[in-house]
Parts: sequence; structure tokens; C-alpha cells
Amino acid sequence: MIEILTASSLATVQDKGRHGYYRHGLGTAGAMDPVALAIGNALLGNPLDAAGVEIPVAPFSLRFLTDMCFALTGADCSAALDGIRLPPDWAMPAKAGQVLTLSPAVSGCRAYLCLAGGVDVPLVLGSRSTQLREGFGGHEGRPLQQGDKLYVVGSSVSLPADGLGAVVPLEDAAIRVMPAAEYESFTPKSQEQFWAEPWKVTAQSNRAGYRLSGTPLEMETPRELRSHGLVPGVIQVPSGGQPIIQLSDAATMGGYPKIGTVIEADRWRLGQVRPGDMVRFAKVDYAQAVAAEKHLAAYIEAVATTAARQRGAYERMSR
Amino acid sequence: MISPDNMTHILGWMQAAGIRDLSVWEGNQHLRLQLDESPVTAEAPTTERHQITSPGQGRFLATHPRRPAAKVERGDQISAGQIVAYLKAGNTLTAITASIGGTVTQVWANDGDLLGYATPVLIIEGSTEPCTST
Repeated sequence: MIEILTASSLATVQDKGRHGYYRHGLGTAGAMDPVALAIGNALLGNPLDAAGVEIPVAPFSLRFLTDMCFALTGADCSAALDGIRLPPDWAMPAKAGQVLTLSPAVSGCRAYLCLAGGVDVPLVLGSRSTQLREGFGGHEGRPLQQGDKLYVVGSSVSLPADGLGAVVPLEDAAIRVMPAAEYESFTPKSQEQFWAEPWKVTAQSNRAGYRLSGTPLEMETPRELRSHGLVPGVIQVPSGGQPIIQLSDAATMGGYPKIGTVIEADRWRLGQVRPGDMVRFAKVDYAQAVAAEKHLAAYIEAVATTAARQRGAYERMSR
Repeated sequence: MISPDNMTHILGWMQAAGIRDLSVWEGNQHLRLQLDESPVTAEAPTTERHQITSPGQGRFLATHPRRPAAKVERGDQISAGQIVAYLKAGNTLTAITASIGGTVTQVWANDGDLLGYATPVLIIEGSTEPCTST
């Protein structure tokens, strides 16, 4: 069990998301950086979709009330366990009473805390993710507050006392995007500019979506669309010409024209982009998007396999 | 024939039994395990002098890939329990940790070196004063 000591922002319990309820108008929720969550789980030997805590902005601190192994991945928050600094993307054992402290991030935007076995909150519609707008799932359907206690499923995993870490992809490349249904309706100049120019992520950005700012995008003839289904990753362009990227807590419907869709394999990178950062887009096709997804899945699987081998070697040595 | 898992196990046994050289043949495969003589054993170390060795096998990384500035170098003051370097195996990292506080007087390993179990990494001259963490 852990107890939240300080939670100054929207820290929520998240897993891979609540999939399969779009037809009922229910979005997916789920981790904004699902790769960081999966890597934390992989280090601990958890199922890769076990629930963890998404921590968007430090300061954040918690106390371990029982001995347990934990992992902290995603944003580098100069975290410390009882004052001892932890490397980024690191898993290690904690003793009951120890305090984990996160400082403002030096890189990235969201940290993920995974606990051995996974965070134990009720499964609602097949997921433990917090559905913020609807107010259910996660811990009491809301962000974590001071004094909240979270239970863990628990596992018998053992880690080296100094911990076990993962090497995460550090590419600073453009976000890969597939052209969407209304792409051809934009002027050739706007199409070109969409790929060529950097876009600033504005302060009006959260789990629902990011509003971008740059040279306005123009359509050949302004179009009105009926509301239609949206998925996380879709980039809409309202009449002002400033794009909006729909993300984990996106609405399921919308009516703005869509210029593109961020591929699944790159959505995690948006989860670590901070307001004020610049992003660029690179055009890919469906086959490239599928290949990128397979590549990412293979990387996560490789971390899980090597981590299991490292834990096994440590266990045998310590016997 | 021999997986990296039980190789670590075998290296542990070799250390415990004081075996420095081991050869295994299986079909046309040959595996030879050699434990290095520590570079300082010949120098009669004093009690305050501590050799930090590799806790396993992997590539030596002087810094964490996401914190390239935080490198431990000769002359640095470090505290007991501080991570001084990393060992990379596949996409995972383990820590090389200082068992005592003091001054780093020698760094044997270089970035990218392939280290075996118990390979000497660096030397710390222990301070008798209580360690202050930074």
C-alpha cells in the first residue's frame, strides 16, 4: 500500500485504456505515454497493461506503507527515495516508511509510477483507467489527493537492491502522421506547410488534446462536416486554421475537418511534450505506421525479456 | 549450451571456489571463462582503499543515457551508496554502486567496455569522516 503525501496536479491511475465502448460515446482514457507505463511494468515483471499512476507535474510525493518494488519511468523528475537520487526509468525495492519525492521534470512531461503486481483499483468496463470527464474508474473516478491510499495487486518479484533500469528511445525526430480524410481539401500551400513548419504546443493542452499554434492552415473552400467519430491521434483543423490533436481523454465525436492522424507508435511521444515545445510532423503511409507499431512492440518485448533475465540472474546470485 | 543466465551462476561458483580459468566443450562449441586478476591486488591495498567491481556482465556506461553530464571521474568525492556508473545488457541497465564514501582515485573501465562479472571498475580512497550526500 502507498499513501499520497503531496499531489499538486492531476495525478491519475491509468492503464492502457478502456477500449471497445466508442459506440456508447465513451472514450478510451488510458496513459498519455503508454510506452513509459509498459516499460515500468516490464522492469517489475508485471503484465504490460497493469495499472500505474500518471503524474503530470511535480511536486509529488508518496510514502510506501509496505515493502514493495516500484518503477518510475517517463519524465525525468530527479526523483529521490528517502533523499537518495534515482536514475530515470528505474525500478527498485522500497521499504515500508520510505518516501518517494518527485521534483519538477527536467525532461519530459509525465512520470509513471508502477508498483509490483500493479495498482489495485476496481476494473470498470475492462479497465482501471480514470475516466476524468465521466468521473469513474481509477481511484474513485478522480485525480489523487493528499491522504489517498492505493493498494497493490502484489507480486513476489525481487530486484537488485540498487535497482534495474531500462534504456528508452531518445529520438528527437518528427512525429509521424498519416494524412486523414480531409487532407486533400487543404490548399497545396497549407499541405506543404503542415509538414514543413514547426508547430508550437500551446498552454491549452491537456489529456483531452493539444492545441497547436503556427501559420494558419487554409482549406480550398471552407467545409462544414456533420459530427463524426474521432480517435486519439486525430489532428483537426477548426476554422481558425490552428490544429488540435485529440488525445487520451478526447471526445468520441467531432465535426472539424481532419488533416492527419498521429500514428499509434508515436502517440506516446506526444505524452512527453510540454506546453511551449515545438513539434514537427513527418508524412507516413499505413504500411509504415504498422511497421513502426511492430517495431515499438518488439522493443517493449525485448525490455521485458532482458529484465526478466536480469531479475533471474540476481535471484540466483542472492540465494 | 550455456545461457547468459547460468553463465552468471557459473561465474559465481568460480569466484567462490577461486577458479580463474574454465573451459567447456560441447560438440563443436567451446566456451572459456576467465576471471581477470584484479589490477590492484599486487599493490597491497590499504583498508581504506576500496575496489568497486562489476556486479555482472554488460557494457560499461560512465553516465546514464538520459543524464550524460553526470559523470564520475578521478578526484570526485562520492558518498556510500551512490551510483558511480552503469552496466548495460540489452535494453536494461544495472547500477555500479560505491560501497564506501570517499575520493575516486582511479577509473579502470572506459565507456563501452565489455565487462565480466567482478571486473574492477574503479578505486575509492575511503574517508574516515561521515559521508555527506550531495
